[in-house]
Order: sequence, then C-alpha cells, then structure tokens
Amino acid sequence: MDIINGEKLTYRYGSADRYAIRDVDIRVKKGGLVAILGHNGSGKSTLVKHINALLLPQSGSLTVDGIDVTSKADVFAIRRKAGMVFQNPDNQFVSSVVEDDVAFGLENYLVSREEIPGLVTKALERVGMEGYEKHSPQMLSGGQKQRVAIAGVLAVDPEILIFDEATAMLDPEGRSEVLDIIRKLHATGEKTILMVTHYVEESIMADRIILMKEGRVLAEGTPEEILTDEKLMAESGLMPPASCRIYSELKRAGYELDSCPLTEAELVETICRY
Amino acid sequence: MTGAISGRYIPGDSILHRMDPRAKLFGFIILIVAVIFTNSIIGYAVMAALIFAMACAAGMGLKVVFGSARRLWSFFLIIFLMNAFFYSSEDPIWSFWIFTLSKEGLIQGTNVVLRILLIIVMSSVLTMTTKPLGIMTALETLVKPLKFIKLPAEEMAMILSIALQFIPTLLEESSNIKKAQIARGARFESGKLRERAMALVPMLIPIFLSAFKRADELSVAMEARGYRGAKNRTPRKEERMSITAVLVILLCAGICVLEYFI
Repeated sequence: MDIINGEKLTYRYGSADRYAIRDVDIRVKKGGLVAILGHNGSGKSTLVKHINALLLPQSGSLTVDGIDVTSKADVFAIRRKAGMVFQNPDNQFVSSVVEDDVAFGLENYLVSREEIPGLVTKALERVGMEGYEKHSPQMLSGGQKQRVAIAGVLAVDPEILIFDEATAMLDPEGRSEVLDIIRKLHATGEKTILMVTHYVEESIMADRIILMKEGRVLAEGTPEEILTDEKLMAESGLMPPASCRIYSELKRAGYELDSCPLTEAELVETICRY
Repeated sequence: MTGAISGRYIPGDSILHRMDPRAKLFGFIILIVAVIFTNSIIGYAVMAALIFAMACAAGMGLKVVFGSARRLWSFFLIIFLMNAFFYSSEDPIWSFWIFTLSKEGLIQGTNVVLRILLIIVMSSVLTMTTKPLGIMTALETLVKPLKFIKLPAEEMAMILSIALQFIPTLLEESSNIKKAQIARGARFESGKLRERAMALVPMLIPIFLSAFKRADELSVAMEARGYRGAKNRTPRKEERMSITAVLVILLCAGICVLEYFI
C-alpha cells in the first residue's frame, strides 16, 4: 500500500519565474526507505515540504496515509503523521534544555502532562541520548544535536520520517551517527523514511531512489538501477559512487567486471571474483 | 571585552543560589521600589546593611558585588554633576550662566547616584546567583497575569525562552564574523571612537541577516512540529512556591514599607 501518493505536483515560490517542482509524481510504500537525490536547487526540499503540509500543492494531488493534504482541517493530523528533521541543528531548538525541546511536539499535540516525561525518555533512548535530559543543546556536538532533534520528532511517534539534508552540516562522525539511526529505524520496519540528500553515498542505503533535476523527476528505481547508470548520473550532474567510477574506468581499459558495485566492499569482492 | 559581562552567573551553592528564582526576582523588584522610597541617612544605612547581608549570604566579597558598579564611576560622576549644577533652586551657593550650584542640587545628586548604585549592585547579586534559565522562568511567571488584560502572555513566555536559547548561538556567530572581518583587514580595537563605531557596521549587518534567516528556519521547524500558537499546548505545571520563598518576598516588602516611613 502506498502511504504517500502524489500526482503531478507543481509548486512555484512567490514571484520566482521558475517552477521549484513541476509535474512530480511520488509514490512511497509503507515501511520503505526512499532517498530523494539531486543537486542543489533540484526541488527535493520543496517536494518533501509538501508531505507534511508545510507547502500546499499549487496543482496536482497528494494524499498522505489516505488524507488529502489540501483538506486544511487535517493539517495537524498530517504533520503528526509526517515528522521532519531539518538541515541546521542550531535552528530547530526551541528550548535551552534537551528534555523541554523533545517535549515541544508532544505539548503541541496536547499530550497530557503526566505522559510526557515517559515519552521523552523513550524517544531519547531510541537515539542513544538518554542521560542528556537536563543538558543544554548548546553543549552538544553537531551529531548529538541532530540526534536530539530526531528524538523530538520520534516522541510524537509519526509514521513517516523526513530527513531534509539532515546530515549536510555535520562532520563525518556526526553524519555516521545520524545515518546509523536512520538505518536502525528502517530495520524496525515501523517507519516510512524519506531522506533528502545530495550525497550519492548516502542514497545507497535506500530501497529506492528518486533522482531529481530542475524540479522534475529524472528517474526512479533501486540504487543499483540508478547509480550504476553512467549516462543518467551524468545527466543529473552528480558524481556516481567511487566504486562505480572505478568500474567504468576498468571497463574503458578493457576489464569488464560482472556487475557495477555500489560499495567499496562489493568492489573488492567483484574484483577478486574476476 | 574581558570582564565586560561582570554580573554574569557565578556557580555556587549558597542560600541565595538555591533560593527560588521567582522569589529572588519578585524580591528584587520590590527592593527597587524600596530604593526609590529611600530618602534619609538611616534609610541608606538599612539598604547598605541589606546589601552587605546579601553579599555574605551569596558567599561573595563586596569587591565582587560592587564589580559592575565600579566600572561605571564616570557615569556616576556625570549624573552627580548634572544634578548638582542643573537643579533649579532659589538659594544658589554659586551661579554662572546656566549653571547653578545649590545645596538642594547636591543632595539630589547624591540621592540619584546612591539609588542607581544600589539598584545596580542588587541586580548584579541577582544575576550572579541565578542561572539565566532561572531568571527566564521567573519572568515567565511574572508575565502570566498579563493575559487577564488580553496580552499574549503565553506567546511572550515562548519568545523569552527562544531568545534565551539563541543567545549563545548568536554570540558565537558574532565572534566568527568578527574574526572573518579582522582576517580581511578590519580594525575593531584601534582608531578613534568614531572609527571604531564605523567598523562595527560591517559586523552588525551580517549578524542581523543571519538572525533573520535563523528565525525563518526556526519558524518552519516549529510549524513542522505542530506548533499552532502558544495557547493550544499542554499547559505547564506550575510549581508552588515554598514557604521560605514567600517569606523572602514578605521580608522585601517589609523593607520597602520601612523605607517608606524612614
């Protein structure tokens, strides 16, 4: 069953003469991990902002878990279903105490005061930040801040999680912390996850990739289908993963491996088997 | 800029540190009123004794407590001279052009200087013994009654809390921008006052721009997390004030009444 179903979505910001997204179709299966991959300005962030009704489609239709996003009465029901983690960890905290910040969403959805502490602790445990309840977000590392932001979203138990370039501002360590959490959440099968990224390497972990360029969907498919397609990647302006580039170079030099590997480990294995 | 933020919180475990921030803030406000009533030598002696007692209770030397006021000596001098020379009196000791020196003027000047000094010292005792977060929650309690006159008290509390959260971020950013400008040849430390003031402009503009950008991003993040006005939220549980806290406020009120009569 498709939990997200959008057809011919089109959006243009204010007085811009270019469409941010145009005629975009998006279908996401429940429990899936979908990477929306594209260059800066390809419309990927605009697209996901529709899914929790931060932006409303100017034309086309979109349903999230069966709810039509244009039915204004259900905006908060949709936002509760689709939680979003943003790029800059510093610009999403509303409190100078971790536990108060994680509780922010719960308070907005009028969860009773008695239930809140338990849910906050549970959410912090899920991202490995238990024990930091009384800390100030200011004292945490970038990766830790982003984990707290994820906890704030997880606390209200949304069915869909959207990561809008959530790793873009982190150091390598913070990035791997956040990606680990995304992997773990995906492994439980409870959440549908969308990750917006311009890092090709991050999209390898997804079930499906939606490749975007200039507001349109260039291609959609599994990472194998998308990332190994040299022509497609060149068209999108993104560099294929290192292993794919080595595969192509080897092919040009006359050594054709069985398949194009996506990761370093796969590359080593394929070369050894050759 | 070293020492510019004296009056900053000094960690500690004294009676004043552990006191309910609401009691401290309300007491402080009542004592400001008391200072305004103070008008006699005995009255000032009472206030001086009180500040001495507060410094002892906070475990701080008088030097620390008076730290922020000491650096303002030129300000005090100007205030004193203005009052002394511009107080209109029918019985001047000395007068020239627009200046008139009189006994009333001297008394007035002394009064004003002493009052400002007392308020500054008391406020630094408050901020040195209370964490910023404590002051903020106390302020939130303070603005709460405003909703009875139809002012958005919940929103104001929310704004205060977010403002507090962003202070360190903006401080860090301004220091980064300053370094970036120095790296490109800007001079903040040298030159005449006017030049130094002008040098601040290329620093202030990026800070403002970035603050607006941050505000914009934060508002989107808040909406994404289901924010729809401070009213539609789980109400906060109000912690009741302890008897000690109430007694502290009553004590301050007592001093205020006392100052009114002496």
